[in-house]
Amino acid sequence: MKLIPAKFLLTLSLVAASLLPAIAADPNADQILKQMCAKLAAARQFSFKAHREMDPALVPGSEVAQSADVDVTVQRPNKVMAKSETEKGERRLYADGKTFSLLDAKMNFYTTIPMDTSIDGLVDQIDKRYGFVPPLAEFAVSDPYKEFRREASAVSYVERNTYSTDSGDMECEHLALTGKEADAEVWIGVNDHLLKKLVATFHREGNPQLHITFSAWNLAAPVADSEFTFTPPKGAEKIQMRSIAKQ
Amino acid sequence: MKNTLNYSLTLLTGATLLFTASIADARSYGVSSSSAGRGTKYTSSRGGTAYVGPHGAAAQGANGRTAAATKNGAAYSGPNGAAAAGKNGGYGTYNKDTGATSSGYRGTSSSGNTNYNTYHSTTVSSTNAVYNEANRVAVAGPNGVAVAGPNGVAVAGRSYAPCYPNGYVRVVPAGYSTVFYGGYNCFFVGGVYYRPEFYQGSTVYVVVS
Repeated sequence: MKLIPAKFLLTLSLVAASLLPAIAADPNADQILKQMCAKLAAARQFSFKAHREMDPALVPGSEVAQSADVDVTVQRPNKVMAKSETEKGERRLYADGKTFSLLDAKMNFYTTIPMDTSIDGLVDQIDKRYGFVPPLAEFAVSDPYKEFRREASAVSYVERNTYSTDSGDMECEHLALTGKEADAEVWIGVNDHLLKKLVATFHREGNPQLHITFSAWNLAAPVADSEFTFTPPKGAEKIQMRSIAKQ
Repeated sequence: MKNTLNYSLTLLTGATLLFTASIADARSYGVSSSSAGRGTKYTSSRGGTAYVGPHGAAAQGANGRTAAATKNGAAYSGPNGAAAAGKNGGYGTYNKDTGATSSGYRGTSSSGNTNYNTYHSTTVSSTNAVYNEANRVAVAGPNGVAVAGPNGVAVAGRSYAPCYPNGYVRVVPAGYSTVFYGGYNCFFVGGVYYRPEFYQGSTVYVVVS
């Protein structure tokens, strides 16, 4: 059948209209990110594990890539315990709402300093006074979305894909974040809205990368206050923590 | 490909000899510490790690010291300095008492102290180490390293050094004893006391004397 122009335009319009729902259904990347962050922010207490790999350029004091297994337990608003285990040793950080303690488990050194503040205040003060932050603290603060958006100027949707883990495959929303210091890709679970993987590529020479895979999210973790209370191991020696302000 | 080795005398020896050098430089020779597939990573049960690529190898011991070797030479670095050798015979050594000393196949020598700046490079002042043999070797300092030779290797020793204030080291040299000094428990080795502190979340050691 030969289409006259009017019919051709009508057909084209119908075809275009049929495509519109598909385009409109493309998920809002920022909403997905916001949803994930809101879920974490709403959790009064939670725990998770992460495996982190950093290229050498991102590891102060090292010239080889560093991998770390990190366990984090959070009880809002002011308690956090993090354990970071690398090839070089194990560090533990405890914040019980009154004090902050750091333990080098390998050398059996520790320090405890007064820190009567919230997790947000802890992260801020430790960063300003001592030049570091507890591992993966951006997920423990009260507004993770704000932390993400502080670094990411734009968020875009990539695709929905299957992410394989030891415990099976899961569907994830794959997002891309664009930032001044680094660009990142994140994979967020379709069903549980929790972060499964993050890959950040830094805008530095060599474009070093940071890979973090997340697992064992538990947003209903029964957490005892004692988990955040630091007790020096037997024979541990208390040492000073040098402020970066002294340089 | 990633292999994990159990105790290997060869690897342990390598990791012991080859402590802290520029794996970053080695990467340009095909050795990579990243997972990008440019090299094979070996890990010993004692904490040593080695990376082997098509043009060279690099290793890091459990104590954080590393070294690299390529077809053009080799380099290693200890807690207080570094040394390098080029394929044409140049080499450099570090003397902890005088700062840095190096000599090359054709008579290069220098002494003094080298300093590092805060951005991963070594600076040399007129009163510090001098590099005076073109085509051959270079120098190492107490807190940083600079080694270069067009026919040899180019090594930037401890890129972590700039991360710490002067007088800080990440690793106490082997053979230390624990002593009480200046009101603190310190490590004592080679006439130097090292006091542990936390700095930026990591354990470092302050050179007390």
